[in-house]
Amino acid sequence: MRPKEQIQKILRRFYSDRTVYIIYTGYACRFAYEINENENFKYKIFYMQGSMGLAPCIGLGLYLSNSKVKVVVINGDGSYLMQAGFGTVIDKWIGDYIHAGIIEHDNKRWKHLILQNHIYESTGGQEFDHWNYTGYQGITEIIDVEKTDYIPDRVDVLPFDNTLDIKQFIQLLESK
Amino acid sequence: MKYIYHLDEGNDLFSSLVKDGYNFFTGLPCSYLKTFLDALTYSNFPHVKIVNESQAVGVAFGAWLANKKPVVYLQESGIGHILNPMATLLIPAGCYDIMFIVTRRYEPYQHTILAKGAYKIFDSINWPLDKVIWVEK
Repeated sequence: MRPKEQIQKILRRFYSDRTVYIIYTGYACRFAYEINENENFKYKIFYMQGSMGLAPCIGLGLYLSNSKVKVVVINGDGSYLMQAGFGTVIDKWIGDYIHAGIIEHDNKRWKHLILQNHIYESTGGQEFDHWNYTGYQGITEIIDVEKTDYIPDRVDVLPFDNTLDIKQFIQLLESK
Repeated sequence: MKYIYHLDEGNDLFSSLVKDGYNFFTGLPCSYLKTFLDALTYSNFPHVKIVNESQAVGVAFGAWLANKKPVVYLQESGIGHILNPMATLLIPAGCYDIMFIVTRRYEPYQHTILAKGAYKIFDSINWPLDKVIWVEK
C-alpha cells in the first residue's frame, strides 16, 4: 500500500465527531493535507511545522485539558526518537500500558501511532542506524510504511492557519 | 503584576498566577522553585512533569488549544531547549497566552552566561516580556 493511502486509512479508521489529529512534521503531514483538501468534509488536523518530536506532547496537553476530545497523534519513527523520553510521561498519564513491542491499550480517547520506515524521508531519505531501541514507551501502535514514490507538495503556505478553527472545535466539544 | 520574585516567595507567585486565571502547569524543577512547587503540589491543578523543557512547550500548547491558561516553569539552563518550539510553534500559531517562569541563578559558573543573557534571548525572538516571570535569589 502506498504511504498516502495508509495515511488515508488511518484517518478513516480513527475518525469520530470528536477526533483531533496531530500529525508530525514530515511527508505524513503533507499527505494528510492533500487528502483533507480532496475530502468533502474536513478532518480536524493540526499540521506540525517544525517543533520536531513534539506532536505527542501537544496531544497529551490536549487530552488532559478536555475530557471529550479524542486525540490521535501520528508520529514518525525519527520524530519519536527525538523526544523518546516523553514516552515515559505518556505511560504515566495514559496508563494501562503493557511493556512490549506493539501495544494495544483500552484508552478510547488516546492513540499514539508511529509510522516506521527507518529513514528521514522528507530530508531526502537518509537511512538511520539508531532504531534498535526496544523501550517503545508510550506507543499505541507501530505501522510499517514504504518509501514514497512521489514527493508531496510542501505545506508551507498553511502553517497554523487552522489553529483557531481547531481551538473552536475543541471548545464546542466541551458543551456537547 | 510583579515580574521578579525572590526564591522564598513561591507561595505568592503561585497565588498570583492562580488569581490571574492560570490553571495548567508543566515544566522541569529548579531548587529556586521549591516553595512554588510545594504550593503547586498541594493544589488540584493539572501538573505534567516532563523530562525535557521543549516538551513543556508542546504540552502547554496542547492545553492552550483546549482553552487552558498554561504555565511553563524551568531553569535558565533550559532556555536553549524551549527556543525552537517557541519560534516554530507558539509564535507562528499566535499563542502568546503561556506564562514562563524562569529561574535566574547566576551562580555557580555554569549558570552565569545564560542567566545574564536570558532576558535578551526572550526579547530577541519577540516573546512578550510580560509573559515571563523571573525567580532569583
